[in-house]
Amino acid sequence: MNAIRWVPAGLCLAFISGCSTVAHAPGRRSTGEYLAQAADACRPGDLSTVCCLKKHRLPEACGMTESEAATLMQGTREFEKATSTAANDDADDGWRQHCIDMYARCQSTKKPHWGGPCGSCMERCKGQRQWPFDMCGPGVAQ
Amino acid sequence: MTSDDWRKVIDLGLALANGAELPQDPELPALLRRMAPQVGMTRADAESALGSAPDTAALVKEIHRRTREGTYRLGRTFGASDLLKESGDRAGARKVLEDAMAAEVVPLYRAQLQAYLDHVDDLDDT
Repeated sequence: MNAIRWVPAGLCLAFISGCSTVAHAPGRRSTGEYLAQAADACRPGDLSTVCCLKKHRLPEACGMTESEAATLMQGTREFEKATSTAANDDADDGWRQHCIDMYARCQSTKKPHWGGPCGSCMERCKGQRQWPFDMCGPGVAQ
Repeated sequence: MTSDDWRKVIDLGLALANGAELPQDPELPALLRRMAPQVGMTRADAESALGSAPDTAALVKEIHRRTREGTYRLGRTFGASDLLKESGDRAGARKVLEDAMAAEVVPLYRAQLQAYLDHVDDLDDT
């Protein structure tokens, strides 16, 4: 069953149209503000789950619960907002996407399990522009 | 290993990259002696670098470089291996992890790559 849960996320990335029948399920478009605001285009390096949510806004289609999706997208949105000021803008946007991607992994990856305080690690990533794998990562003690 | 050591040395590396000079901190040599093995350098490498200010600065930059390059390498590798795994290409997923392992010198990052390798044949992600 678990394998089946995660198949749509991969298929969404490889064959976007293949998820459309699931994503267009009637009555499931308004699952909350967090998904309504997550309509950005997928970017290189996006987690497939993030990309799937951006595209289809339906947590179940992406192998997630609504709670997991809310946490993931809220964190992503808050981080993008916090780092989008002029003072923080620079020519290299790669670190922002890096931090967002690693935060999403920190929140959602179970095999191997990621330990550590994901929110604090996000803050450190914003400051140092590199994810602190010494604090948050696979195999790190909680 | 303490996370505080990593944070401090990366902050120093960032300061040097921005044109600052190393602070006159009596704790700095001990910090660098602790951090050198954490990024795959020998204590002898660290010790010899502590003899002069320019060499000490170079040591900080090298430690910073190793943490930074490894961090981005891990991020790219975990992303690529997950996509390959999700598409059913477990051999491909294993290959990108092994390629990263071949390039990685930081023991912590190597252990984290190994954690992914240990799960590459799992049939699900939960």
